Amino acid sequence: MTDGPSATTVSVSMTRQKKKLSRWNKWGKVLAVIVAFYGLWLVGWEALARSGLWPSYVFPPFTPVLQAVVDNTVDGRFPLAIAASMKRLLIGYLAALGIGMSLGLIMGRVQTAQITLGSMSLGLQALPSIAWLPLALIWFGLDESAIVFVIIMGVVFSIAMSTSTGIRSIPPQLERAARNMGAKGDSMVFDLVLPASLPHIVTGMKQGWSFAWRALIAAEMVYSSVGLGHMLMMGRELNDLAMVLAVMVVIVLVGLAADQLVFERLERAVHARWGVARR
Amino acid sequence: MIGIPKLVMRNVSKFYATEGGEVEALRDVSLEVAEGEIVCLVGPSGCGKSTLLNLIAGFEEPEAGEILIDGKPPGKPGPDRVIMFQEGALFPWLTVLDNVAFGLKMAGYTKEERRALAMEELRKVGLDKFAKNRIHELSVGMRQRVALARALVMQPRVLLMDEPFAALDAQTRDSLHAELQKLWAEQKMTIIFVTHNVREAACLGDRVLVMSPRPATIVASRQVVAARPRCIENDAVIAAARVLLGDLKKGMGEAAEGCALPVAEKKGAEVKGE
Repeated sequence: MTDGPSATTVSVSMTRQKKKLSRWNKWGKVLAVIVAFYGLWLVGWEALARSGLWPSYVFPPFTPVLQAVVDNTVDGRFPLAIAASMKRLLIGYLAALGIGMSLGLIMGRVQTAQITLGSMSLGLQALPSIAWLPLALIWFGLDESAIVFVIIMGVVFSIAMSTSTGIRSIPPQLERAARNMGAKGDSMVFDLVLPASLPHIVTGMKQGWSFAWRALIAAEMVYSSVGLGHMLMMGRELNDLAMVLAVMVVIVLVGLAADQLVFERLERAVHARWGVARR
Repeated sequence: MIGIPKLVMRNVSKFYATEGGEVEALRDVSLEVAEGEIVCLVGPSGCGKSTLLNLIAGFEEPEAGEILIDGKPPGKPGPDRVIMFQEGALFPWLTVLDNVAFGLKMAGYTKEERRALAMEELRKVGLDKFAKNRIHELSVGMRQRVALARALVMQPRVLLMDEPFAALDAQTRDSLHAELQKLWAEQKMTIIFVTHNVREAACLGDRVLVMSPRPATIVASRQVVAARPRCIENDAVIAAARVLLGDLKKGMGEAAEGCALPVAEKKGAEVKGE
């Protein structure tokens, strides 16, 4: 009897250790699978490209692509291009955020606006944003503002619609409670409507960011003298496929970084704070 | 009743337009509530009890009849008549403290003032330790305590309670009954409490108004005379609840069959018709 409790303790700590170990094993396995997948992929690419079936200007191996990423980063061309692209992106995105949220607020609060502006947003959302570029070039000329305009048009309706959806899904009791306690006009908007719909709004912001990113690269490819999209087209003009692929890799990495480091975290934080399950 | 009653409703009727045509929610409802009185409205689900509260709160207007609070029409919704909802209707993006302080913010108190007042109110409902928590981190019972604090911090002249404890487990509900009676004993606000539970009505009400199914009319008004604080298991409360159940069944047009209803005269219970 006397050794009963200590025996239990030992067995408990052992199961704990086992659990820890199994969790580690699980993560280790996941990691191993991922590394193996990309490793095989890269080795396969390298081997196929060096097999001599295709000339290297049609299908370059992986190593010169990596070399191009490193070289262009070191000589400052990538940082410069990324900076130029990001500047346009941020201007366009922030403007779209402001316009989109205002539009969404009106759509969410006024029934007539939902019918009119809402259907218009849905329609224009179906238009790929690059389709605005010819119009933008005619209106703004060969100018930065043409690209910014294309970005805005790519993002604004998605933000507007998610904002209005967020507003429409506020439980009516919350609004009643707020009204009961004296909220009206501005205070109703800033202390109830916007915070209550923020989980929807951040989801729209995340989606909007990826729309903006696509619109930006597309617009830069068609018309620009600096930026990632422009570098992509320059690679084509120089028949430098390694360069083209290197730019594509950078576009993926930058887009992924913004999505995961900024928007994924923001969405997670807001949803956790609001106590809503992630959809 | 002495002086002007706190709340008067005279021949109030209310209709709703629905897809199936017009629905009559309230028919010719008249009632008076004295200052500092707890009046419970008990009736079957969907009978229009909540409609009555919405009219008093000013969210809706009656088609006919007159509502007076302190001799004046209620006007727009305002913090002098705070509603406490069944689901609490707390704001998930705010901390417990900021939820309680919300109405004070709307009323223009400074940050320090409203934090101090809200904290004081949270202390009264025993949740001051949870001031920094979020709503979804609390149990349902704790949420209703927060909702109660949020209502009381406004020091409403009339507190409107719309089945606030209906979703709680029995133990939590009992402790909230005790707390509500304690807070009422301190502040003596007028309370109009809607429930479909006759025991709860008998436990909390100075007076209980029994309502019929839609269109709701008031079929009985009973004074419950028993010492406070009462609890739902008190003999007096159980006896009074039986009488109310009889009224309720009569109002629903059912014979009170199978269950004898002794007129309560047990252990100090006294239920008077009016």
